[in-house]
Amino acid sequence: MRKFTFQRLDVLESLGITPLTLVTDEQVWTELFTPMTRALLGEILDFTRGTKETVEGDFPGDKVSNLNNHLLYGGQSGFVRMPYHSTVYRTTNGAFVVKRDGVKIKAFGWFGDYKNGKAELIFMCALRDRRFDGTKRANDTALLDFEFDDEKYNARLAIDGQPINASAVELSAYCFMPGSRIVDASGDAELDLFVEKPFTFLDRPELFLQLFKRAWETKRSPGQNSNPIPDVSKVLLPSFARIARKLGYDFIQNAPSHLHVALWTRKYGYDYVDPAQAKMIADLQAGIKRIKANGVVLTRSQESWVCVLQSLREDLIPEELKLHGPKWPQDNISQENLWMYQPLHDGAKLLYPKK
Amino acid sequence: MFKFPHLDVTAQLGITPICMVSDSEIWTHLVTPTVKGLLGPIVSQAAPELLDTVQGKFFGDEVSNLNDHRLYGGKTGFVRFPYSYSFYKTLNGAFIVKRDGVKFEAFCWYGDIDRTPELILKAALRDRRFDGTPRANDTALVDYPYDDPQFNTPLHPSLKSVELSIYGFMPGSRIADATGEPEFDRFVASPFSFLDRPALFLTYFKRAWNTKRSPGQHSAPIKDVSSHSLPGFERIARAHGYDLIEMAASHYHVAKWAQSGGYVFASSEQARTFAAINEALAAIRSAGHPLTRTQQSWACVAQSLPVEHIPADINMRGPIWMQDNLGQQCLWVHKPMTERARQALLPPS
Repeated sequence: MRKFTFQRLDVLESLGITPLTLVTDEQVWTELFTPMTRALLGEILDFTRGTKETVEGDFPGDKVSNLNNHLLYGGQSGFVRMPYHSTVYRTTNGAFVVKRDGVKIKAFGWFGDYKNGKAELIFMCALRDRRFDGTKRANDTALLDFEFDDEKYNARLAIDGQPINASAVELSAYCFMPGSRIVDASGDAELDLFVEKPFTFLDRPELFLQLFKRAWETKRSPGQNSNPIPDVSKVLLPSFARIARKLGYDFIQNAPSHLHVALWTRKYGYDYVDPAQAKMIADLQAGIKRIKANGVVLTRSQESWVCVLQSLREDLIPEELKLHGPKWPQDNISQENLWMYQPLHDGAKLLYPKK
Repeated sequence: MFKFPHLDVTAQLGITPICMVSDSEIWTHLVTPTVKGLLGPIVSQAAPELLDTVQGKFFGDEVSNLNDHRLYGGKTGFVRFPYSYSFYKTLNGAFIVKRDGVKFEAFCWYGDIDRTPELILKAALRDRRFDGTPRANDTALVDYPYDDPQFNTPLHPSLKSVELSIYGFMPGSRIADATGEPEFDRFVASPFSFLDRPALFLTYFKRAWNTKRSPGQHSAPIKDVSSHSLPGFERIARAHGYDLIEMAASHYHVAKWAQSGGYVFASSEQARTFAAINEALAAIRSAGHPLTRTQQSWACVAQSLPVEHIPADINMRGPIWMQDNLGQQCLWVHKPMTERARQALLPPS
């Protein structure tokens, strides 16, 4: 009988340790934290670190998630299934925090006295391996804000329903200029919350409309309850792509929550995964063009608000902003995401040809 | 300018060198010639899977959830850390390797996996870095808890240490199969669990005394397992960068086997107890009671009975066997693999 040949098993991969674990804190600090963000935080002074398994982190506001509601040690809440490593670098003006587990690395910039719960989160960026998306395991990382287990909305890149043999990483980023929060400037916590998460007000349409009218007059786009840090949009996408490419990923993806975010990533060559969603965005953009052609002047932030508005009860949508059909596909409440992607090398373009 | 410290992320996340041991290394160095002969050659391999339930693929293939984690809103039947599962069909059975970040465990099953196969070999190496903490029990591949800091704290904080465990069972030799008596089988497998019923313990003890089975051996051992496994384990541990290899000896004959392989006791107190047991056994023999090696092990077990139940001719009047596999107290023995370990474990001069 022929001698049996053992096939190689990629143990790390099978246990959920992805190439993202190779990203160093130094890379995150120098390549993803922008010059303005670093300047705001000041110099790194020292650090503490350790592996954690609780939802509560190292200081007030420093929390992680347990989206699958695992109850450990005989049914106790407050724990996460997959331990994560956390490093808190104290800086002159706050803290630079890096959290990581096998599938995600997530970094935070805290401005102010973080130890006493008086700091502002001014920056958050992350890279997440998508290999478990569409399964319960996707939600097992403690470093998530949203669920990704729905196989319809969060399936990996697929052709004719079959996932392609390719690796993909999701980027996410949020930035907030310190002192610029709506609630800090206006004392209006409800308006702040509305601007941050407008879709959560759709169940109260009159209130939505009232707050919408106020938001319309601000310089804030939906999602921006603080002003963005100016250099983030210029620096971040190429840096994310460079890191992902270096790690050997085939694709980088994002799920833009609003029109201005989608257009930002489009500018860097990202494409929509779902042709139906792509058509929806095209319809929204055509509608915005029509509104403008009718003499309504729209700022970029108002264009994003117009998209949000289409999810409101039809009879409440102001006539001049009505698009009669297309709706923004991602509300950050349900799991439907507007997945976009960018191939990271020529071979990847062949793996997932542009539709 | 701030200098960023090095961080071994995979190690921090509980991924240790032991999970990198390949199935091929295990088959080559831990599955002995006799076991390979019994199993026959590997004929096919199933696609490796990642499992996260206690339930295995067939009866006897289960794993554990010692910390009683209840996942997905409180459901039982899941394990905290998924483990990979490699299945190889052999001519006469199956070779299975389970592994997670801290342990691999190999199983050789003899017979038709879909019917009632017999486990004939179980061999494992487990990284001890989490011992003495609840995390030690989080691997689904442990049969006993190791979280007690008093009994299971690693020997040295900076030495990389791995625990070996090995069981070999000759097919068809199980006591229950030969006698039709599952309770007697259980007694031989786990005699300390009968101590709460001393009369029954003594009944079975007297029967076991006359068998060729040592405590723990509810099946006959496979002869070459004792000669092959220690060098095989050590070779693997050394190749994967471990400083120290350890085991928890459940019975006297296992401790003697480990000693003959160069293992020494971790605890000086336990070493003294072991020496006292050796002296007592010598005294019993010189009093005219010849003891086989298996009887020596049984004599050690008997010392845990209430004193009035210990047969007078084997009463050691003091020393008690240190590991009962019920509590967490283990009889840790170890062998340094590196010069670094030898130096670190030198007794203070």
